[in-house]
Amino acid sequence: MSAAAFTPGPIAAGRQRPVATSIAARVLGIVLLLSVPLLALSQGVFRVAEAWVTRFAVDAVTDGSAAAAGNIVYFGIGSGSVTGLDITMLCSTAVLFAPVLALAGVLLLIPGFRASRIAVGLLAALALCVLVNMVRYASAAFAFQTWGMSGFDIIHRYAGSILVILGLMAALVLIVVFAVRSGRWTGPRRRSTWQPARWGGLR
Amino acid sequence: MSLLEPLQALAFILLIVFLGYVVLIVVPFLRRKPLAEGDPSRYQWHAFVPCRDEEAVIGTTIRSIRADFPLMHVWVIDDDSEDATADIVAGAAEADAMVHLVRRRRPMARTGKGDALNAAYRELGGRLPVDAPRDRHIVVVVDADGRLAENALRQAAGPSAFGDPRVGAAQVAVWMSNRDDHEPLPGRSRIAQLWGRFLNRMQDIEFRTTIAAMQSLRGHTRSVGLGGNGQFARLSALDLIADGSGEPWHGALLEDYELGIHTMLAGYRTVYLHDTHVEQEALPSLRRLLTQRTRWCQGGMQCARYLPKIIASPNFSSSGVIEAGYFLLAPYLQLLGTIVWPIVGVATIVQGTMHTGDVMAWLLAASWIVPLVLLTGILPFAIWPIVYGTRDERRSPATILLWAFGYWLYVYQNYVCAIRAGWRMLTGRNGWAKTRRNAEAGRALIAKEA
Repeated sequence: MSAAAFTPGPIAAGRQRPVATSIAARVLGIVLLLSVPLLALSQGVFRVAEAWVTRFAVDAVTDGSAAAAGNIVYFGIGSGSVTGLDITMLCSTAVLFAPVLALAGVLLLIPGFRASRIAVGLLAALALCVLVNMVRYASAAFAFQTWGMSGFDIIHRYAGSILVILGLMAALVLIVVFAVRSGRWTGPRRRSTWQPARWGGLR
Repeated sequence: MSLLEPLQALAFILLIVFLGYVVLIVVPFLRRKPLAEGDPSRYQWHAFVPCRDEEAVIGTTIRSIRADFPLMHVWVIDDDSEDATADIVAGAAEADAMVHLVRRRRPMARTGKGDALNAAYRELGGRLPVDAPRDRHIVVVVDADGRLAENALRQAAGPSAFGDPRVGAAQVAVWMSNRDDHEPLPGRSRIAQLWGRFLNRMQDIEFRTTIAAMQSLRGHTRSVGLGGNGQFARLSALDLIADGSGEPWHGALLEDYELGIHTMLAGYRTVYLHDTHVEQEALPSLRRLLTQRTRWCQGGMQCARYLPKIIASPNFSSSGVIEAGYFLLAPYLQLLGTIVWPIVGVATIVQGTMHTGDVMAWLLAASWIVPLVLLTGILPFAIWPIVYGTRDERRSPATILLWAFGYWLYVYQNYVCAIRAGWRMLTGRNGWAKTRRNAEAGRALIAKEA
């Protein structure tokens, strides 16, 4: 057999130019990473804001009206029975935000990932985290009003936990999907000749 | 905010990352399609068999390779054995022109498996004609106790493997040859036999499901890792690596995974061949298993130094960078878990007990968490024996259930190994004795430091 039948050669043979990352991306990445401990330190304030947002979701699915006071969402106001949902630190959306922000920050610091795509993925992931937790809060309040403490326990402990687990997993995967679909960037205003890996398919 | 809450949050996040990874490896593994085979006669095949004191198995290995693969040259690298290994190989080489002995002598011997493989690489390169098509010469590393499946070369010659000129290396699946051995520890008690059979089976499950699934994901991210047994490499790819860094195999304890990194950095692809396999001995002794796995874990930790090169390399895909980064940092995450999980567990129990006044009362009140523990703490491990027992080695539901429970317990040895490996890294201990074969397990080790 003859060697001429083969076209040897590695992928991107001889490439010397390293993949690039912009200064803006690095700055944003550092900011996101720093936001994680800041979020932890200010989680009290975050939960107050979260309660204010949550009251709208709870209000939509419960009898009476809902209001926030500090990190507690009261519902059933005017229905004859008022109950408060205490948004603790471990229940807070801040716990979901932290790994999402950290992952986006790390990806922005890795040369070659497009900052714009990661930013879009980050926003989508954060929105998903908020949605998932709002559904959990609202479901828990609805279950309490409808089935009492046992209903609340089932939603809060089981269904809600599984929802949050799946939601956070999906949020992290979402950022990765946005990051890898952009391919690796080798410099300003240039598309890499590298064949990008396509996520979700068999190639 | 107490200190416990951030730790609980961190434990939760570590759990999510782990569960996410399990989902990411299960899905492509269950959905994978078989790869097409090719014509092995288009290539020249060379088995590199590194050996040190392997008289118990080397003769059988040579005969089986030559019988199963008449096209394959066998290069046995004798790393200055003190037993009859070299004599056995020399005898085989005299009788068969396709068998070659590569002798190494101290002080240039016993410096690691990588150096032994490099010696064979140089010997092979020196014997080839200058105009030999080195992209058609394929090297496969086989342990002295290894046995390739009969379709290994056809799979390796396939269009998704070396039939693709961009492919520089391939790794086949690994099976345990003694998985069905009913007396893995001859002369020992029935309990010991049961324990040995359990360990052998768990290792078979581990390689054929969990590790295979990781490799399947890596097939999509283009970051397939090479293992110590059943790794194939194109000679021209080895040449390119040698041109860039002196020699193909380097000095990490995981010299095989390291070779895979070098292959990808050089611009070649690595592929995983699940439809063929190499068989090797499982270790029916917990002590030897922990030693082996600690060495592998430490090797993985050493390979983390390649992360900057991987990140900077334009030859790694985006998803490959993320996957390789996760794999190389995983031992460190495990170490973090060994600190976080026990603290959270103990603190939660203490806090709950103080709240209720009685530990049993607290346990009863907290029993609601058991289904969640089953779902998130046991099922991610138990799923693998279920896959194994329904697809690979079909067994009754009762047996699969036992395997599932056993595998969950078995994987905790990873934490033990991570701690030991981390301690060895901290204290600068990098020397390792080779893993003893089961056939020589009864003998005392005599100065077998690498």
